[in-house]
Amino acid sequence: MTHLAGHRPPDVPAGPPGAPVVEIQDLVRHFTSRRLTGRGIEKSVVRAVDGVSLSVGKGETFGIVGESGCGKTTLARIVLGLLSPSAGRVLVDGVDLAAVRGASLRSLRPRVQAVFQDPYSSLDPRMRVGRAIGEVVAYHHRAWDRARIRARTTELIEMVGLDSSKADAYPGQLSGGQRQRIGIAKAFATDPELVVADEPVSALDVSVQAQVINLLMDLQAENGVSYLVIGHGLAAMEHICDRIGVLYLGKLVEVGPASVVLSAPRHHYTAALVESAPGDGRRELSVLTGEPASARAVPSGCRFRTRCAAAQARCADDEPSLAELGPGHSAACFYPRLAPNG
Amino acid sequence: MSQTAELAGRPAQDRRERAQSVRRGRRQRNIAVWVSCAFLVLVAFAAAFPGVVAPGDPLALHPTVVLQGPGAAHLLGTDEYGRSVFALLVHGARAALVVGLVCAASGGIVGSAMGMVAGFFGGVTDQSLMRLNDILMCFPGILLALLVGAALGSSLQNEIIAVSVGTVPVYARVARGETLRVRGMLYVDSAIVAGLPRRQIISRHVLPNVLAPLVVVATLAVGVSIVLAASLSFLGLGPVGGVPDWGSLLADGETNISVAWWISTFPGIAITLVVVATNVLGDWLRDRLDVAAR
Amino acid sequence: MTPDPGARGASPLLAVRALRVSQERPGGGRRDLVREVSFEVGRGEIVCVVGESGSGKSLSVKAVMGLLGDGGPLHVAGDIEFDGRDLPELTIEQRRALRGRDIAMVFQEPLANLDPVMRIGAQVAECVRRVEPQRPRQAMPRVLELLRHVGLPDVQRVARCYPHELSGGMCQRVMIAMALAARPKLLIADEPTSALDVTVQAQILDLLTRMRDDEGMSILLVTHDLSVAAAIADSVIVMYAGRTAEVTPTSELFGRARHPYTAALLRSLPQRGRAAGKSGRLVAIGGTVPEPGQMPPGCAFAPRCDQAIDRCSQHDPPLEWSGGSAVACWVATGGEQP
Repeated sequence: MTHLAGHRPPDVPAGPPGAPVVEIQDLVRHFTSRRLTGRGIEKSVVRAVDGVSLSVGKGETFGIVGESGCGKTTLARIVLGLLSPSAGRVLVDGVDLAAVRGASLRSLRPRVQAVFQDPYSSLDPRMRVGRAIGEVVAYHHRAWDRARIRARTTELIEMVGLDSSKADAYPGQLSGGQRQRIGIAKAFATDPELVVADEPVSALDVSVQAQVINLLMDLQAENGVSYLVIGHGLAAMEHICDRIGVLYLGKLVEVGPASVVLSAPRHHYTAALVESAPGDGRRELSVLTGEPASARAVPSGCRFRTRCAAAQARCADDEPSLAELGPGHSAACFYPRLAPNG
Repeated sequence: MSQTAELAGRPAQDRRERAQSVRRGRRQRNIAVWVSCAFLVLVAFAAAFPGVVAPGDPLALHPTVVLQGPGAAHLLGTDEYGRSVFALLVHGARAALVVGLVCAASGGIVGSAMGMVAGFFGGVTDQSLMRLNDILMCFPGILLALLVGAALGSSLQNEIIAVSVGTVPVYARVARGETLRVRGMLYVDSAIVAGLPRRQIISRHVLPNVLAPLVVVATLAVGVSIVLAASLSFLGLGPVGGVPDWGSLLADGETNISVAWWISTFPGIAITLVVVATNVLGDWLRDRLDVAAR
Repeated sequence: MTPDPGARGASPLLAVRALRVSQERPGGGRRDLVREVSFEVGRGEIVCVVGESGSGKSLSVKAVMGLLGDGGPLHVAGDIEFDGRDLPELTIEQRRALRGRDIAMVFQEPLANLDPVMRIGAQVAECVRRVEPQRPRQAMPRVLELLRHVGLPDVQRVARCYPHELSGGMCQRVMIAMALAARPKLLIADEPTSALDVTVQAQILDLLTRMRDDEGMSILLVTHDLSVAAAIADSVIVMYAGRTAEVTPTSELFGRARHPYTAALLRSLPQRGRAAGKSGRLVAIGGTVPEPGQMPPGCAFAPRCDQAIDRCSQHDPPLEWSGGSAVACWVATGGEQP
């Protein structure tokens, strides 16, 4: 029986060999708000990220899947240095991004760049896109002259599959797909080691999504860059990710190779996600009952137990941690699903 | 039931009428803009070249024609010293416009900077700046200008300072609101992630996107400043000596209002028209900039 | 040009033929935003209109509902028949009576379509009382029944809540409850699950399927997600650049799609269940969707189509029906020999 007590959880789920590009250790982020109500001052804590550890190796694509409220956007913002964590470390090349400030933070920034979800608000509407890219290039290469900056800008624009004449366009003159390509060009302007992509194709037309996915994969093959992808569509995530982590209410409930996690999930939430997603012409979508719990009122013990068909008494008392169930594949569950073929 | 409510349809005849009235409204607005523009140009010209529009010394006394009503000889009548009201108005235009523009500009720079810094940095900076702004907002513009004017004494310079302080709160509020909006935009996050220094982000990304509404506030602030300055002068806190500005003219006419209504009335009309004209222009500017931003 | 009568057995509930929505151009003349749209919704059937942005799917559906406003800048032409009645011929009052009664609509952003300062129970009661005028209190049993019907838990508490206190999925159920108040024959849903999580989406789709199965309600669902259509639709209408590209029963969709756009779209979607390791490149469709003002001559998809022949860039192919399916493509209907 695959009944594993949560013994000796690995600190950081194993990734490919070699020094990881980014290592996230026990990251926590709580948002506290105090409200004055009829009963006095009420304090409510949103436990957006509640202890996440993972590592991304060189040239690897690590995907995070989860639904709204799971904390994936908060996680992305912390890794990007846009938000400081309540606890935990984000190690980029051994330096804790969360602990540095000011100029030392700025010197780390080139290594971790972002591609955002919304191609419409991620570009300054009043700045020509060439200039927006050039600005980033110029800041990180203070010694370069204008010609060299312009050459590099052109190189970046062509690298993402656009004609160099687009440099003079304003964002409003470009389509969603083209804007997203410019966003990608800007991300690569600093030659980053890690690109955090927050739902990079969700806002694009379906017929354009494949183009951008291909672009991201081509760029990875050429540059050896690592990706941390926050994603939505399970099929796309399976396609582009090496490993996937499933986030639920601020904690990773399952981590492992993408195809394994999505085709043979061991955690019940992952299974629910996989079986709810329409696709392949299946007519039966498994339906998860109940509402997603709120990060404001996290259930005791296993946070998924309120919606889990396999929940038992123990699940309310103890909280399971990630336990290795297969090579590089771990799940946080006292009664995980059976592996296929025993 | 916003969307499930139906859009009322109308038969074809109504459709034509509606289109016509829309066109009429638009034409009326355009006429208003042109007229305001033309009027302001005239006033500016009068302010720049008063000698051309109303030759002669406006302050010269002409005891023989005191308190004459408006007519052929004196366009807008004369005051108790026999001075032409028209000439006084024309020569006082400069002070009015200068005060309006300078106060709108200086108040704008200080107020906008305050609002932008508060909006961008948030936290304690935001709280303290906005509480300061709240203190300024507690006082109605005129009272604020009065306090400053009374504290500093009567002079053109002090009047400008007082009126500028009166316009700061509105700028600060608008600037802060717009900065907060822009701050939430992903392109600001993108610039931060790219490692650009905050100084550069504010000047290159926040400022251009915040400017449009501030320009609109500025045009409206010109009108407000003119009224504030005139009020200060009316209360005797304005500059003394030289050509009386429009507010002083209003005050002067007050004593004789029962026998010579024109001395107060025409300066009042002049102030009103200039303020209305700047407001119309400000509205038009806002509409144009809104469309452009979209 | 029109579907074979009797292809669906009984007469269809909704029949749209040659729908066209055009806009006046500033320089005079008309620009078509939507053209040549024809489809049918049978009784007790779920039909999905699938298309990307710019395909005209939402506009077509709004035109069918008469929501584009007469006398406005948009001009609607074509035959729209509902339950045997000709919709464009109805007066405003008659159309208003039809909406919210026999036809009901549900939209994409549930939170945006609910009054934020009104309790849920009151809003649903408004819909109930439109159908049966009565006192608010008298309407409450029916309100609670509707909320229960759409699967909301603890309906007494929900009825007292304000919209912002409910989740997106719950709000969407409330919208469906409001739509069901008049026991409509046809429910039109415009991207009802696009703003929702995948597990919540599954619940809503399940609810819609149950309504078709239990009550014989017809549903016209607009979506950009082909897989949603594949999961619940009986037939699928694929739209591209403002016109119908293909109408097909769902069973024929995967593997037997006739229009090159549909086939290319299906090919470009990442497929689940690949073998271990990262997959190769996706088969992407080059180019972008043309803007309404910049339509290429002939078939709008021709510039991006890998099967295009000369005729495709000269003449816009008509929608050819055979039985219950249709396709607008020269190559698919064996047009001119290449």
